[in-house]
Amino acid sequence: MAAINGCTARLVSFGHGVRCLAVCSALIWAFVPSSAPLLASPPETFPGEAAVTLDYAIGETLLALNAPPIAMGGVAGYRRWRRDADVMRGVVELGHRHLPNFERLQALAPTRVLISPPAHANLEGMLGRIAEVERYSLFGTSDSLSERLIALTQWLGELIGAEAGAQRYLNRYDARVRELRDYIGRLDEPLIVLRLMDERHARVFGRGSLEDMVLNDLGIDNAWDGETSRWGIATLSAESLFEVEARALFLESPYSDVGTQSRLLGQGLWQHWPAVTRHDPLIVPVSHWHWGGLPSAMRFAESLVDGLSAGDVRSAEPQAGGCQDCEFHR
Amino acid sequence: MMGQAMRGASPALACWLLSLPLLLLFWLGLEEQGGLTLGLKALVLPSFEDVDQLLLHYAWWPRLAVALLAGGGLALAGVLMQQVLRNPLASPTTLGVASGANLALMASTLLAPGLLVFGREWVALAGGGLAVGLVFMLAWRRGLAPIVVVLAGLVVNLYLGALATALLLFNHESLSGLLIWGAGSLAQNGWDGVTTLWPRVVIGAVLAWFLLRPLAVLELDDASAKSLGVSLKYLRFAGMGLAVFITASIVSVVGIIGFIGLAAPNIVRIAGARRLGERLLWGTLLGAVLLATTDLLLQNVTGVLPTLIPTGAVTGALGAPLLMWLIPRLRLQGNRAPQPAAVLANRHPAPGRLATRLAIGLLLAVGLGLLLGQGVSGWYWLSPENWSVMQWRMPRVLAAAASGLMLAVAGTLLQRLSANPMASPEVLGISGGCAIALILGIFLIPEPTNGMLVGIGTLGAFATLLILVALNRRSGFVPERLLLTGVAVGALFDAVRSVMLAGGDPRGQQVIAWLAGSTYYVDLTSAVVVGTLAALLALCTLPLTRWLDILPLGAATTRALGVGLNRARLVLLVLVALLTACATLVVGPLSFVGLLAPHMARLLGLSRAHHHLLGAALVGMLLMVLADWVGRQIIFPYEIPAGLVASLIGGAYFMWGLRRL
Repeated sequence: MAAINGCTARLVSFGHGVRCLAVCSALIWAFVPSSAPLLASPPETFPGEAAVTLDYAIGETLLALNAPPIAMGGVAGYRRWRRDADVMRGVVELGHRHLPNFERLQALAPTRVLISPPAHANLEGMLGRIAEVERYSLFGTSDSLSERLIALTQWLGELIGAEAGAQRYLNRYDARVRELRDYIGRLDEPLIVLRLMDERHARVFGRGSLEDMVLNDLGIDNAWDGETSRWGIATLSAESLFEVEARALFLESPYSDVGTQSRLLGQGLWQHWPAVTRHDPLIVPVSHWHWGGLPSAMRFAESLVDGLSAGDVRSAEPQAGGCQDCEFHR
Repeated sequence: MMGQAMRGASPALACWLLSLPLLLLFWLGLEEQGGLTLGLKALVLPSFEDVDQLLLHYAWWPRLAVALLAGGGLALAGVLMQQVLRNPLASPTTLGVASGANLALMASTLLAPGLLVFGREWVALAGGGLAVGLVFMLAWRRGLAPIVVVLAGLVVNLYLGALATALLLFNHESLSGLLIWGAGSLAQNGWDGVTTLWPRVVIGAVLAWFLLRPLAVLELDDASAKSLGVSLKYLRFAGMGLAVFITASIVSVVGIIGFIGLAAPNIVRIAGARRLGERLLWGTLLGAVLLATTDLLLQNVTGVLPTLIPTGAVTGALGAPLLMWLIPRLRLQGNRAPQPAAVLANRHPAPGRLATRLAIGLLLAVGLGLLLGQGVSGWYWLSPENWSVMQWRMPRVLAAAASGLMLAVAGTLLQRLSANPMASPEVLGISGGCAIALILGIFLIPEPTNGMLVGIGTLGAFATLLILVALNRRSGFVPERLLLTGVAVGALFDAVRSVMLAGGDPRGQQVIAWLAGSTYYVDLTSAVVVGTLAALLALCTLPLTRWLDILPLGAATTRALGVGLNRARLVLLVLVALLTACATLVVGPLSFVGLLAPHMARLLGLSRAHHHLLGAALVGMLLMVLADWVGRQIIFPYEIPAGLVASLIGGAYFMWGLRRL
């Protein structure tokens, strides 16, 4: 019954459309901006085997495997988070991350659309009409985030036929993290990673977050072991953080003005918080995506270590030039 | 003042009774942190070495102080507004002051951060003042009648909310801090908030005391007041200005705190405070007590939760049932025949020709929506045989037209049923109920599919309908009361939304995308279903046109003409609810087509019920199809949801048409 309904509607609407074309095209033609190029036929499509993703973690992992997606949702936002206007060059913008443009997506004729549920799970049916949808959940599973991200990298390697490349990337991540861990040595204090949201509230990155995973990999204790949401964050007021004895690492969002964190730190309770009175506060600009893949993890590890060596917490004198000498990864 | 306090024994008793839990919580809170002596020492002479004292000094005491100040100030503003407008439902939140201030702060954060340097409260004041001004302009022609003012406030609230959603959709990250603040968290971090707030609240209270005598005159009707030699215009302006100033100061410090300004004055009034002086005094005290109690309770509860539960959102949620309880107890002019405001435009000489023109316009819009668009290399005309692209456009155009049709018909029914120019389907609360259910669905179901979300949204809409019918059955579905239920549901919706957004959950963006209202999620099957439903429901209204011609003449006339009033109202209500629920599931809760299309049809000169319905339906479809197309093209490949575009276009029309309403 539904099928019959669908068919009739299709026919009716088609007839409608044809009549419309006859009646109105001449009229509407006049209103189209003359500067815009008008095509008689639909735009050309990009040929070839190609994956498209709506998820930053998948997108950046593909990029790290030298097989960037042909298109991604929210490319502009990703560039802002990475603080790099050139990253993902040549990747077609699909529009809002939660409202990717289906027409553009279809014109690109991808072979696969990669999503990370629960995000975009509600679009699966519609995406399925364009290409095969592959899903990979990162959060809210029983595995640790670290296991999920390693498996994601291997899975993507298989998908694009570059298992060896994926393994090479994993080895490189391990080597890099080991190098950074050896460089900072053993910290005398645990760290708490947070972002001040306004004068009175902070967002803490705890169990289940990418930031927590990086701290573990670097052999640093995360001082925040309180409850977190499924995405590893908790939004709290100042007093609930006060009992935490740790060194505090503040994340400066790419969406706020430079100096926001230190301005907020100069106010009220924050300036008496032992975590910031005992050391100079560590402020690190975010250049990774909080819910990203191993490339984001690596970038966070690097900026964390940069921040630590600039803050000079290590008992032993750091080598001259901070960590720039070991900067081999872009 | 003393004498008044003595006479107000009963409101005083209410205040004391409600203070007991506050005192208990206060004592418990201090005991937990080292006892009363330490608490007082920390307040006056804190030792900065001791963490407990630091917390008491910088967080606990200022938070209590701010809660008391904000609660008292909001209640004071509420009493003033209720007195000035002679309207028991006037309050900072219902009149749109709070959301105006909120939107002004959002917009200046994004567009002109320099303005915030002058002081957040001034930006908030400008926004709140503009919002109230808008409400006044909308309700002016109806002599600021209580119901019209509150409905105008609701419409302005919804419109400002739509604008805020548009800003959020594209600037979620930049506004993430503001989302926490906007939800009304009272957490403090030092004495800055208190020092900003107390002089303003005190000045407000002193000025209110000076205005006490002249404002008391407003309890008389306008003619008697004028005969006493009072300039009503200046008096109203002064009273409202003061109330807006107090509200804006509070909003700029602690964000939106729902319903204290409505609840406290009404509770003291019910407790027996009749005179303005009593209401000001006890209302203010009760407001302070209510907010502080809620906040202390909340501090005890939320210690275990990973997400912040802002006090303002909680008071808003608690206020919703209170309002539902209050509405049947208000004395409103119920079945009175409305003023003859229907003489808006001359009747069109040839409605048939007009309708044909509108239909041609609609066909053109449909052609545009289907065939002209942007691809990888710019604008192009699509050939109608190209099904691969058409499969995306056709459902959207169809869904846009269907939802435009349903909202327009629902709005026409409602405006005729209630003889109220501010009535629109959103106002009824059905869309709000549907939206609450959908937000909860997105957050609580692990991996919601579109089908599940539609099911949940339908459930939400029907739950709201049940509440509506249950609350209004005994009063015989008096339209004014029906519409006020929407205010309560709207408050609940705001509370749910702000709690969800303040936590910083990545799914928040998905919620905003849906709330903004888009035909994006519609596939062909659902578009056909929605289209069929729309057509069927619209056809159902045709046999009802006799009722629709008679109902605006008032209850007495209607009964005299032999129409069963309750039955007619119930049937129309159910029809409106069905139409609204279907449309909300497609384009989200925010689009003003249901408000605008009936007005536009009126302005075009279609006044008889069946012409009005037909005209509104055509206008509604035209508006939505155009809005959908514009929304898809204007920032391609990003898109502005159709509901938002329709609101923006519609809102502009609304401003233009204000003088005629």
